[in-house]
Amino acid sequence: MTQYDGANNTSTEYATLDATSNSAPSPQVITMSDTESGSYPAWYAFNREGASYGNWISPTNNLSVTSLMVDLGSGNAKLINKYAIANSSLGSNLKPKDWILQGSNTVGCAAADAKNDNGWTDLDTRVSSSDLVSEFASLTYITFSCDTAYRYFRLRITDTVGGMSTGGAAARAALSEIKLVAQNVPVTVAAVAGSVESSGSVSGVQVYLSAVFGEVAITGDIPYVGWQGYIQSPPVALVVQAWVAGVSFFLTPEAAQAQLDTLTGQMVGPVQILKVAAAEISLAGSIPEFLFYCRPPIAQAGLSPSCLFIHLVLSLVPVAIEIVPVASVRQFSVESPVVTYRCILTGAADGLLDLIIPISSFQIRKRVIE
Amino acid sequence: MTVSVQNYLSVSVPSMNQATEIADRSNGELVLYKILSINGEQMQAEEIARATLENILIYEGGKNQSIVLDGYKTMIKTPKETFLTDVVYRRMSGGAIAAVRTAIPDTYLEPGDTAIDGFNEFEVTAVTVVVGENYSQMDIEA
Repeated sequence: MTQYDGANNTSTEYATLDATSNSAPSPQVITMSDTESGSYPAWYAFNREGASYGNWISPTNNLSVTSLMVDLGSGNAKLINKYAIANSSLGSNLKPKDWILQGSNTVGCAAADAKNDNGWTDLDTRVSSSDLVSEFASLTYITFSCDTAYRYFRLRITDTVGGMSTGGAAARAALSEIKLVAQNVPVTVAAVAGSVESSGSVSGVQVYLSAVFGEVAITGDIPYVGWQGYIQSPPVALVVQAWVAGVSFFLTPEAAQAQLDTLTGQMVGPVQILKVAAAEISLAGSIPEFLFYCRPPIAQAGLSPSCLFIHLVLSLVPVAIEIVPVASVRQFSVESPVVTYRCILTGAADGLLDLIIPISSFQIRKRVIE
Repeated sequence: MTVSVQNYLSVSVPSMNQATEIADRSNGELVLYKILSINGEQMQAEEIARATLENILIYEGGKNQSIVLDGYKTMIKTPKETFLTDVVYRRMSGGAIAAVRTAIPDTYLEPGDTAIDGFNEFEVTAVTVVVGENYSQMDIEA
């Protein structure tokens, strides 16, 4: 998963994929140093954040060290300089307090004895750490300096709050998630002529930014499309509505993005269009900048990139505010979609093919029935 | 939570050319799609209404003939919040919105939804959309 920082034209990339098993999705392979517990497999530490997605736990007692490893795959080394680990929901005694994050490019090291340090480079060492928190939402990322990309990463845990060598069932280590982050990944955005409609200084209740993502050849993980600008006099609220087909959303600032969580990951098919639920974003403080990104789901089967259509409305409340022209609009073409309607009379019930009927008008009435 | 919504759909067919084919499908369903095209190329096709065909009415004038097809169908919908745009008319009652008219139909708005019009918010009980060759409007009742 990649998140794009439009202001700096960089992205933040999670190095690991959301695991669905120890070996999926390919080429990622997750292993651990000790016998795996069926209920708490190693890949649970790399699936998704939050204890509801399961915990990993070291299965045996009286260990002096236990390790989790991830192999990103051949040719897939990543430069990591930031990571976070989240506590499990299995008890505070299982919470790691001493650990080392290590990297390696030695083929086969991930399958070797995890207690052996041969071939591993220490990237970050924590002793009696309180950096591991219980909720991913408040997770503290740990940054460190590193200029080498590694294929293998290992979290080597040497002690827990409860004490790994004290014996007993509680003398084990557990985690709910590990996030390895590659920062400042350059992003290449193809240059496509285009502009946003209705840009310019506007005073009034609403500002309409309307754009169409036209015929753009999409390759790789990018592009994103989006709007970027700022508001001279922050209003009470910024209301975002979007009519979107086949895109996922990212919205900054982060507090605002949280309010649009229901949008993230919503994908619709190529023959549908989705009007997402609007959200009101409090801008009571001084948050003069806004960024709104959409990313086409290029991996979605059957969806041609040229099919994407995006319409965004930003409503500024209350009135009497001045909007500075929107800047940094990328990859939009100016054509607006034309809306027409088509009526079909189905024929299956009569043993016939469906019939397209030319219509000159229609009326729809809908009401709630008890 | 879900609500039951009764849909009524009526379409006007401006010629009799397909009268026979329509009559042959008297047990069919009317399905209305909204089509989005860019540069003449169809980009999206989305179903916005569906009804079981119940009536086939033929209107004959001095020069022209037309057919009106209509029917009903009950659908199950999940209420959501929707912000109204392009509002051209509001009818107030007791300080609250009783009805709203918009120039551009919001084909995603359904009865049961919570409509937000500026600082006003109300639950939609009925929606009527009328679209012709040169006009369109949507009436929303609270």
